[in-house]
Amino acid sequence: MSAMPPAKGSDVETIANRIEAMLKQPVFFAQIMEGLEDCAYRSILLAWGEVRRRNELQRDQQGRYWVKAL
Amino acid sequence: MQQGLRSSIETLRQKGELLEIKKAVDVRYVTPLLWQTEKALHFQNIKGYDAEMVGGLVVDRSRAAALLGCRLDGLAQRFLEGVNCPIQPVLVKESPTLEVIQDRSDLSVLPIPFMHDKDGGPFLTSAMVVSKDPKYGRNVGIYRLMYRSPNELSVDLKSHSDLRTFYERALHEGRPLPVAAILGADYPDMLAATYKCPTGTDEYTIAGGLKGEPVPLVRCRKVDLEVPAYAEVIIEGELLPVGWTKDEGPFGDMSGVNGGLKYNPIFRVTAVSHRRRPILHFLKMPRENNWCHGPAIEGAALRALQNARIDVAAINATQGGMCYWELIASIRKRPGEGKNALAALLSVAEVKLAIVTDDDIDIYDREDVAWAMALRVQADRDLVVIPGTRGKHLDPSAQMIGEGEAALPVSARLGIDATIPEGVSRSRYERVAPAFLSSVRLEDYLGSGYDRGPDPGRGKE
Repeated sequence: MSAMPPAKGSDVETIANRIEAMLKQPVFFAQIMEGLEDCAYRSILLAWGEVRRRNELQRDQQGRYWVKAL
Repeated sequence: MQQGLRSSIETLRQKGELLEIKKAVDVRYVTPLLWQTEKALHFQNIKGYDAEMVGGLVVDRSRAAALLGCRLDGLAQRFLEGVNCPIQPVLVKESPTLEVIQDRSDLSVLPIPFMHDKDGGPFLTSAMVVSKDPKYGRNVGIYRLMYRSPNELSVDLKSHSDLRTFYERALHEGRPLPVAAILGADYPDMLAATYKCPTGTDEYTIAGGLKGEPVPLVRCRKVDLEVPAYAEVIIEGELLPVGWTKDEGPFGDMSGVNGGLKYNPIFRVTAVSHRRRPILHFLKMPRENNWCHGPAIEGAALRALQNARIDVAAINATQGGMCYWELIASIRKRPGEGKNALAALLSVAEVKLAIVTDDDIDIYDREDVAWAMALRVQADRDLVVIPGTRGKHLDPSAQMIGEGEAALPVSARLGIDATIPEGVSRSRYERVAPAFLSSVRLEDYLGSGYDRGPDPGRGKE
């Protein structure tokens, strides 16, 4: 059993939704982090995993991420 | 019991080279804080985590010498002594690394830092990755690992390495390659892991040689691999047989540039265990990364020169060359040996530039090296260029050769023989010195208020 404090699932879902909104245009990971300064770091890591699970992320040569519009 | 990372932390703390920060710090601020000091920082209170972080441990030659217990100019010799006296590791059953065993694999319990403004995500920078191959046996190397999700990392395998060889063999057979990432090794472990030894050499034996005692190993829980019992965190898993297909990077890497987007294999995590309150070591890029291999490169250079029967005075894997791409050696030359020394140095790892001087040159002083190159080199006879050799993908000028994302880097190598040319008397290089220097003191003429100030030390590294 981990000694680390757990992150709340609802927080993670909410943050994942916020990240997806940012990914409508190409953004650096740093911009995502800057947009989530109010969020706990661990929750961002979990949410990022959730975003990757939900989407096939696109990248450009500079390393920016975005999600293709359906 | 060896303490791994904790022994390095204690050594630097005792020497006054490490600052402890007890105030709560968010993970996203550890890197910018570290960039504001030359000291190592130990963050003892990480917001939201039951873990600590440390960075900036080995950022120059003096720290490397402090952790290896040797002189500043003795790193190569010290390292080679360890290589020449390998000690087999021993298996143990008890390990603090097993204090906390996760019931599900969740990397988010670790404060994996997002470090640089163009990085593609959070990175583990100090991870030693152990793997095994049916033909070659066990290998340990250091690889950057990018966080993708709670159970997925990506690993940069763009250059030649034993892990890449093992992975290519597994990929060819369509099977995953079991691996384990070790966080919390000590400095000799990391040096051994970066040493370019013959494929099939067990780096744990070199680490033992460097320490003068066997590395205690404990078995992993889910993969057939062994890891140091004193580690802070063990991440077990497998490199999936997907090839170079998954986005990875960019990362502010050992070359000091942002690198670029790459496509690399995936490390799927199957188990995570750690100490009750682990300390996560993150590297101050690029310098700390450079000094995690600098002494190993110097040791390899010393070995190559000794094999060529060169009488070596000193070796410098320069900080400016990232302790990797540039080597300078001073030698006590016999006729012809300037070129022999170059041939030896240019065989080391992915060294691109080698300079050989006589032993009257201080090779840790760039101004002195430039003086030798200005006055002892003739371009038509003292330059050696070897085109089309093995390179490193983190060098932006390297050419990638091969198919698609699995292409490998190729570089040219340049050697400069800056020794006194054959047929020219050493007396032609006698340095200018003022007459009567020991007879007078400037203070006696300017009065007691005159402050001579520190010795400028010219271009010392």
